[in-house]
Amino acid sequence: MSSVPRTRPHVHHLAPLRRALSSCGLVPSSMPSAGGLGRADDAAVRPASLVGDAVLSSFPCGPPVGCPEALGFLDGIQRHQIVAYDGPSPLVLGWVAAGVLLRTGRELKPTMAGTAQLAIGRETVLAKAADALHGFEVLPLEPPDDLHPAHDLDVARGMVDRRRAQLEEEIGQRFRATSSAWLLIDGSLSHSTAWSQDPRMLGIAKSHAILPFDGRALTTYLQLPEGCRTSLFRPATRGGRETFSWGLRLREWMGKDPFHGLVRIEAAPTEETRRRASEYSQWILAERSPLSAPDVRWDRQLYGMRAVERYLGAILGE
Amino acid sequence: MKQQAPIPPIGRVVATEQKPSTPHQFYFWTARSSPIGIGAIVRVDSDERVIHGVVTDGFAYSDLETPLDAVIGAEGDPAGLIDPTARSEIRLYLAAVLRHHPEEPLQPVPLGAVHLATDADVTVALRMDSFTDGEESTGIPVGVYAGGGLEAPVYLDADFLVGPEAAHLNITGVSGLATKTSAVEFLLTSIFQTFPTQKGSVAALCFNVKGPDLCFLDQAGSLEETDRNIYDRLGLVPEPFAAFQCYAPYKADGVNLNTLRTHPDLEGNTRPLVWGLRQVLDYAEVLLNRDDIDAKAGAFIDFLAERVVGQEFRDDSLRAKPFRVETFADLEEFFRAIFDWMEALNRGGEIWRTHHIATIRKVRNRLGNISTRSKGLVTDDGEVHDLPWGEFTDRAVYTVDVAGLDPLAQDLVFARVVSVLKEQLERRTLGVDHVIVFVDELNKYAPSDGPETYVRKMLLDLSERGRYLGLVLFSAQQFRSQVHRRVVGNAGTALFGRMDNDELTMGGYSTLSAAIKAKLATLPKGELMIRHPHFTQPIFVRFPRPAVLTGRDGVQRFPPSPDLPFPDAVARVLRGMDSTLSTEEIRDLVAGRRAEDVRRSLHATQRSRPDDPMAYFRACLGRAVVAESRDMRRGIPGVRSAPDPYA
Ligand SMILES: Nc1ncnc2c1ncn2[C@@H]1O[C@H](COP(=O)(O)OP(=O)(O)OP(=O)(O)O)[C@@H](O)[C@H]1O
Ligand SMILES: [Mg+2]
Repeated sequence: MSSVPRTRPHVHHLAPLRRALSSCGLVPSSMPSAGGLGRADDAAVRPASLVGDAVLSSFPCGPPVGCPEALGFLDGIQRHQIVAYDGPSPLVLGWVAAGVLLRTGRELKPTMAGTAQLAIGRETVLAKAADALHGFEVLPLEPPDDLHPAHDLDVARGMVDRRRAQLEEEIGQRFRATSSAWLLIDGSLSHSTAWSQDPRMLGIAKSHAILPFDGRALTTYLQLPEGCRTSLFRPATRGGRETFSWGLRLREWMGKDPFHGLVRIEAAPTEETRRRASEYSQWILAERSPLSAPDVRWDRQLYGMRAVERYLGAILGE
Repeated sequence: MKQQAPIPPIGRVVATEQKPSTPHQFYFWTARSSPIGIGAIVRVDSDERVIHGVVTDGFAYSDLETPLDAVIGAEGDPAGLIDPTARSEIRLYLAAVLRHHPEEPLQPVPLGAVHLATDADVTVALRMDSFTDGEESTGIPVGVYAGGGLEAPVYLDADFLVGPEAAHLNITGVSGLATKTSAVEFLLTSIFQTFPTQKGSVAALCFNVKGPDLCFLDQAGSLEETDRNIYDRLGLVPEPFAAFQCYAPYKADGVNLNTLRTHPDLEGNTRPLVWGLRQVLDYAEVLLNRDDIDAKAGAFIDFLAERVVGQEFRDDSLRAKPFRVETFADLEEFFRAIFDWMEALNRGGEIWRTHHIATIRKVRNRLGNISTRSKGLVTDDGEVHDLPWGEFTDRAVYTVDVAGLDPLAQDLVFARVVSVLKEQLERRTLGVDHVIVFVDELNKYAPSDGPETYVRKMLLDLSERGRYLGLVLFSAQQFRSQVHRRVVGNAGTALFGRMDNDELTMGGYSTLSAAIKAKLATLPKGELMIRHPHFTQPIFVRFPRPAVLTGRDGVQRFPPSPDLPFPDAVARVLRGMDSTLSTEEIRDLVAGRRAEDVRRSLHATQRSRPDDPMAYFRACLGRAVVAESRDMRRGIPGVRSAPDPYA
């Protein structure tokens, strides 16, 4: 059921494209590629509501136990770069990829992947560059508030980010159409209706830019001991779907920082999730090894997720 | 020439800045489960070119950056939970290029798909197409290349093995495991069965230097199914050598053969090797160590060889009756006469015919010493049994068993046999066009250090010039590094069996990768690494057990006859020629006779092979009774010169 793309984009072979853009009348630029800067969440506290418990508490999950069934890892990556200017307006290229590695036995195997190449700029820029942009999805920049070119780049980055999320969702759906295996998703499930209701998906959020608590509860949340999880809660989402979530401490944090080894798990808001939250946590604790180092986020990045990223990186020609 | 393989590739070439492809080597990766191993031959296909290579090294590593990460992952406990995901691990191989197609322009290996070699690939990769195609193929099967389920025949080029382009073969490896002797035996079978007709005739002469090693080459050994399959695959018939003769000197008693091939069933082609004065004198140089034989002694030996031995020599001052020196005994009589003459000269006699008495004594001592140390090979009387000079036959093997001989006598045998071979091949009178001489334990006869000896010089000369004459050296030793560089260096083909680790650290092996060395150090019996001029890299092959009886099995199946008392030994030899003779009758005839007389008569009978051996023997003996007494040691004055190493 492999549906891994055969023809691959290449983020590093841009010289021919730059020449083509130059003949379209644009000025080529070779600003270094903005690697996966990630998603720009603004740090904030958005209080969540507890599910069941009256106060946020912590529970030992039990020893790590590997998921007894086949387990998929789904992740996506994105890259973008300014390749030319028309006057002050940049032409931004973006590449996104998403895929699933499925683990059966102890082997991770690529089972599904998709990519997209985006060309983003103001209408005028895109019109001028049209001849050089075969094979790109051409996305006009939403009408800007001001003329500052740096702003164009921010907006473009946001578009690339959304396209990646969209591609991840597509891949997730394609995977689900052919397999009922458990699937771990890098990040939140709340932006997809399908995901937020899938009984065999777990979202693993490594980012803590949005914190679900303040005050005493936050202290409990951030001082969660190794191998423990919090009570279940419903994260506050701005327009997102409801999920059940809980904090899980993968590694001893004392002497490091309160976020060390802390992840937030999301699952469908069901009775089953309430019942099995500790069991799911045990699975994820088992994923601490092999260590995902040299990934800088090795304290909370799962080896399987990193493997997906590397695989996607290779597809994009990195 | 691009071959369309029906089978999918097993790897892909990778080239990075750190590990680039070059015209002579490339890296490729495979799945973890691929059948690739060190020594495997592979083919790289790309759009423009096909490259063949042989795997020389292999690497496996995971995405782990430092071992510390593994420790942290396992929380310091090696017995901890098994990781739910196996770390991704890669298999990377380094291959040395065997051949490019097209050969020009010579370029780095491209990023192609890598396939396991097929039979046809092996032929091309080893350039065997250049000498095995067509009517006049000069391919000599040496074994099968075994890789990835394949058993592809590998051929050596006769023009480079037996001459004239290159020649000689050397094989190295540890005792008992390297299958050196076996490999040479097998290769002789292969050569005899496939030597191209247009190249003429070929025979082999093997010096047996160890126990019964090469004594049963005419007897079938036991083979296993796997051996037979390899013979089949190579188009060879596993059978022992039909034309075989084993030559061995006598023991000191002059009647029992000094060999382990003395079983009565094998008498038919087991022959004595006995030389006389003439045969020895020509090679006296072998035996007189170089510093010792000064110009004066040399001149005297020349005088003996040219003027005295084998002809009538008159010197009335010595005695009225002319001398006729044919044997060591005759020579002794001649020396005696000289010494008597000098003594008679009233103390003043120090010079005879310009030769000083000290020189004469020295030469006499050395020659006397030869006959003592080579007793059984060198006879005092005149009966000579020699190799069938001038009558060597095509595809025949002659074993000369020197295993039981004193080293001095071994040297003499080597020197004379090789010299006569050379002479006769030069004059084209030997009976065959090519002779392969097999010398085992080469480190003993051509050591890398130690004094210059005649035998080493001779082996060096053979390895340097032999191929022009059709004289080819196959040699074996445990440690190549202990053999004279140029002797092994001149061998166009080199085989390596299981090797000793210390030996592998010697400079001569520095071009081999660590992986190849590790493979050599653990090579199973029956596998060899080959260097041959057509192969641009060393290649591993498997060869079958030889179709002949090993020495060890030989002495079990044909236990040597026990040494018999003199009269019975004589009877056994005569009964071997005529089984109707009675031992009693012969015992009676021999009783009371002098041993030398009996020996001489017996040797004469053996040599002549008469229709009625008993009558012939009786007649010889009759004459011997009246022959004059020749007591060699009668009253010879002691030597006054410096201590004599040979005395
Ligand atoms: N092709 C073969 N396959 C498997 N075993 C073999 C093969 N050829 C020979 N042997 C076995 O290997 C053993 C050693 O062989 P061989 O006497 O030829 O070794 P060698 O290297 O000459 O030893 P040494 O240095 O002691 O003379 C023998 O017992 C023989 O049966
Ligand atoms: Mg041997």
